[in-house]
Amino acid sequence: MVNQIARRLLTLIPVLVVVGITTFVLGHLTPGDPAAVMAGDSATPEQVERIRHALGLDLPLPVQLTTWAGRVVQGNLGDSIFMKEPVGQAILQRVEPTGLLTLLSLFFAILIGVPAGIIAAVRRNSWIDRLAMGISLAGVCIPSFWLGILLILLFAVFLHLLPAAGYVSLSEDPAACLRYLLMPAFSLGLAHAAFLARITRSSMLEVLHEDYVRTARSKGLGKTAVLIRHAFPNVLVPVLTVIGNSTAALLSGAVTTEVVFTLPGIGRMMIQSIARRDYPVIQGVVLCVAVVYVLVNLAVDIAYVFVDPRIRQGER
Amino acid sequence: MSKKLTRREFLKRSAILGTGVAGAAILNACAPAPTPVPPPAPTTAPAAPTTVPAAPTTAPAVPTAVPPTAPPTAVSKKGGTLRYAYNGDPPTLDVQWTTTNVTAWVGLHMFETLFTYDDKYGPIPDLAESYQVSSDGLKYTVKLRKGILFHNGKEMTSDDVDASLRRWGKLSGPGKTLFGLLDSLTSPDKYTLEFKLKSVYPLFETALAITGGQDSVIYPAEVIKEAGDGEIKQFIGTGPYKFQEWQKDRFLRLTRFDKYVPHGDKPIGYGGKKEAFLDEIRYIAVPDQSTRAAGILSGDYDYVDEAARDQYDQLKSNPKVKVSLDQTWRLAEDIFNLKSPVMADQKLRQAMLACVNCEEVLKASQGNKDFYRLSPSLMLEETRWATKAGGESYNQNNLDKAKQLLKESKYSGQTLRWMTTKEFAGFYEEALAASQQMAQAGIKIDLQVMDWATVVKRRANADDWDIFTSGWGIFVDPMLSPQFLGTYAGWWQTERAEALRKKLLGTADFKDRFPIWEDLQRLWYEEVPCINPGNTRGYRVMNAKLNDAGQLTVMTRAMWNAWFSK
Amino acid sequence: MSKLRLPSTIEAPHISSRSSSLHWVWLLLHDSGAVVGGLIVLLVVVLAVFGAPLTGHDPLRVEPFNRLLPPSSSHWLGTDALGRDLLTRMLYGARVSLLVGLGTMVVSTLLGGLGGLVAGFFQSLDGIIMRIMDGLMAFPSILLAVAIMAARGPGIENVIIAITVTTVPRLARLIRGQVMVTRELTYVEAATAVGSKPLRILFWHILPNSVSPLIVQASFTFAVAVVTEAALSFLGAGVPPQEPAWGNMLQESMAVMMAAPWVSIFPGSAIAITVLGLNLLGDGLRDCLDPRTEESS
Repeated sequence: MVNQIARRLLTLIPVLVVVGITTFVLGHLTPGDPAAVMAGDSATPEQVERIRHALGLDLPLPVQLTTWAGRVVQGNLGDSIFMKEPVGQAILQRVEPTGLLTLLSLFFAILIGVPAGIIAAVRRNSWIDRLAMGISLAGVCIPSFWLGILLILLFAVFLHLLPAAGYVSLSEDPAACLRYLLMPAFSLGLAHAAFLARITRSSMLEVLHEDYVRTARSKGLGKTAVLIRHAFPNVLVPVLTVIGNSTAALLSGAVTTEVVFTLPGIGRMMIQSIARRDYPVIQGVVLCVAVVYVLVNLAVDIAYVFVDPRIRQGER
Repeated sequence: MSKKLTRREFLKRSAILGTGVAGAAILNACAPAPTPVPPPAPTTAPAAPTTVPAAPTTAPAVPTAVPPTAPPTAVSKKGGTLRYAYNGDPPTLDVQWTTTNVTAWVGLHMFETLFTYDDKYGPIPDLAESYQVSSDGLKYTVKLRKGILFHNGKEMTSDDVDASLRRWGKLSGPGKTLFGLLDSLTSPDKYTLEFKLKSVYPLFETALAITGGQDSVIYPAEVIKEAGDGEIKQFIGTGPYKFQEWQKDRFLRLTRFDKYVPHGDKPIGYGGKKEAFLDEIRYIAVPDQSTRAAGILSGDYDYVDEAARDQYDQLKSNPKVKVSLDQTWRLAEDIFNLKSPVMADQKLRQAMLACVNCEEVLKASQGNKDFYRLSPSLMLEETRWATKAGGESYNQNNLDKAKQLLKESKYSGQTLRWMTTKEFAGFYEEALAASQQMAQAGIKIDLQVMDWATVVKRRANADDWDIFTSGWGIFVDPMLSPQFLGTYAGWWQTERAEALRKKLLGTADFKDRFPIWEDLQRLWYEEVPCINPGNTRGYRVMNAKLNDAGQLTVMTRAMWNAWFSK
Repeated sequence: MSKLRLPSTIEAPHISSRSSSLHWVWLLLHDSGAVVGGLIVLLVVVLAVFGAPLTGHDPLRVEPFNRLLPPSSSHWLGTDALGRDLLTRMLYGARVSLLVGLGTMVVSTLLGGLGGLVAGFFQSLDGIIMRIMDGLMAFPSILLAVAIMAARGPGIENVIIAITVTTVPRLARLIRGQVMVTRELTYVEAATAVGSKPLRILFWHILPNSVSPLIVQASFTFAVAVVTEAALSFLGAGVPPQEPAWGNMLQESMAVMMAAPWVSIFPGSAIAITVLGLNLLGDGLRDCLDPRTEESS
């Protein structure tokens, strides 16, 4: 088992190499460069050249690539051209909003989705079931960024209950931080809540009809006990799958949400950096996202093994 | 695309973003008393060119502005944090390093220049106390104000000014021009500088005044030394606000500099007494214009400099906020690449000019009538250079004539590449409307919408484009505009244009220069290096309790002298 | 198989023994959800293909003097900020969404299906292919879309490429899991024992059993593509803004949200309804083809 984990971790390396090189090449081959953006619109070509030289962008591409790669291997992601700080630091500063957003969205998703799915399964085909599934369906279909815009209109502009944009750090003021994240997390999490609800429901339905459940019932165990002790644990596997997938999806869905709600997170930084051609940031963020993604997948797979003993056999 | 850079503002690049032209009413007609061009005649008239009588004469006919007569108790006005929502963080705060407008707008609270403008665009000394010009116009002796302190407590002397100007001279276009004409720059004592020119330069004070982009701000000499060839590492200036903190993508904070030494005892245009009533100015990057509007309605911001045009009516009627139309207009323009083989054909360009229905284009771009006006003048009407010369060719809206001209041209159905962007409000819509009008005459256009970084990149290469959309802020002098200088992308460098330019640059007196400018404008309408649909403007929204903010007509982003009522 | 193996993140689904017959079609037609979904999709397709030119308005020509008109008899859904008829643009926009959805679905099904088949069947290639898939999944689709667009200019093909890159890996994993389970089945072992060539086994035995998850996933992939295209256009990395597309329309509506909310509500609803139809259809397909398969998307 440990071997396996170690091997999986090793596969990070080729993934990172491929991702890193691809991003570098894509970024540098895209027309437009940060020097021109920095110099401003009325600058003359000589002024742009001066800045380009100061940034080291006039060196041949392979040289720039190897310099960058060399630094990365040593753990140095370079400095952002526009933000004047190390990329690593810029990312770390923005991990909080993005991370909190993702966690809070996941929290909403689980909090709303799982119970809804369970109840819907237990009361199959009743009006509760249909209602829950109906809303779930709507949740999956509404684009999250559109929902975000509608929420801003309603809660910020018309009702003045919540702020339209911005962010306050958790350490500064937890209550305010929550206020700023409430709408974004909700709009982002709703779709995943819906998804989770559907999955939980269908898994529960399957499980509830399994023999061992019927056996437990016939033994005289109460409904709830059955639910909790037998049914639910088996639902965990598919639920975990979705959570794993959702985390990845949430991280990328966070981008549009951050743009709509103007949150100073990694997603927005990416968009800005792409527009400004801030290469070090673009490359650094993609690498980090790749790492996170692989790690999350790994974590979910490990969780599987513990949750479902049958998986250890390699088949169901 | 969030374009974090406030490129949107590059428009206001106005060499004169700083200059306000108070009640546009004044206008050029009445020649303003203070001389923007130093008269070669008077020798030692020490104070003459510098005293500015502007203040008493006109209550600027600006609708919302209140002449900045300081109310009695300064104490009651002090206090408060201004939360200013802008389009995006500046790429840097080193004002000398970049032409980007946001850098200057924020930076001019912290840094100052030798000269600035009164509310009629007349240059007045700011960090300079006075100056004299020799009778032949070749020697300028500038006396600095004494006792001016930098944010680090050090006094400003001619060493600092010398180092700053030399660096600026290397980094900026107008700087290079000035230093190219300079024979020598010396500092006879620690409060005096002597500039010896090789030839007369009518733009001396203007070049050293605030322009809204890459200004000749003064830094301490040691900061410049520390910077070497790169950007400055510390933001230390002489302005009424000092740099406090910058958390990228969250906010940029400037706080009051308590030891600020005022230049005089009352505000004069962009200079004179600049008072820091606000404790702090906090700039918050909010890239989306409707989010900014939503934010000011929900009370999260106090000042928004560009809000969505279509929200104007709603905001106007809301008692919690004040709106005010910018007094400064911008010139909208579609620039032709004269180096492109197909665009080099003058008849084709004239045909394209004939197609344009300016009102439709402007309406597409701005929506509400309050935000655009038709104007044939290439220098904005608020300047004294405004003229209708050649204006018969403006807004022709004549498809038949266009088709006729097209037949006479060498155009044979090639597709023209038109670059535009969505990053600046109105550019895309303007290009779309105009290109569709031209398509009706049979001109094929491929409208390419891209992000601004790509436009800037491709624009530099003459093979890559035929037309692109742009816009300009206000200039105090046509020869300050890179576009009229011919060096800007588009390359209007025909023989006749070059000849007129030379004449214009070499003549000193405004009354001699004006007719030459009129000829240049006429030539412009004949050779059609660009199409100008007209003028556009934006508006500002602010907390109803905020006063005197952005009242300086063109410097709508100057927050000194602004204060909150309780 | 009692080796301890870490699974990949998607479970191996069950194999339905009914997939080889067309029994599922009958089932599908009796599933009310699927029928509704199918009708919705059909409606959208018909409107997009035939309805678009019928409105009598030009989706491209700007008419600034007609901007932001509320719904009326001449403009059923009103006009946008440039005076263009909203209904017409929405119908043409449907074409873009359908094209993107279809293109993405076809390409990613082919590539993902192929990748998964090969990876699941040939263990030697498994490692490499899955690592490539991991790399692809780690790539933010937005970066890719913007880069491609800046390099090649905006356009439908580039949007399809960008979205496909992110949907292929999931399909590949799904099929791979399916293949790996099928591989262990007795009759396949029997076929190998008898001496059938691997390729034959692959195409004759394994492939037919892997088709159903592909079909189920197809409609979800379609839905994902429609929404992603909207998101990309919203961020400015989709089809050119002058072309009618739902994402573009949503993006342009933001500036006029308060003054003219209909400009945002109609395209947003269009996306939601289309995705609804596709999801209902997908659910129905799954219920009929593979009722015990976990949803994965």
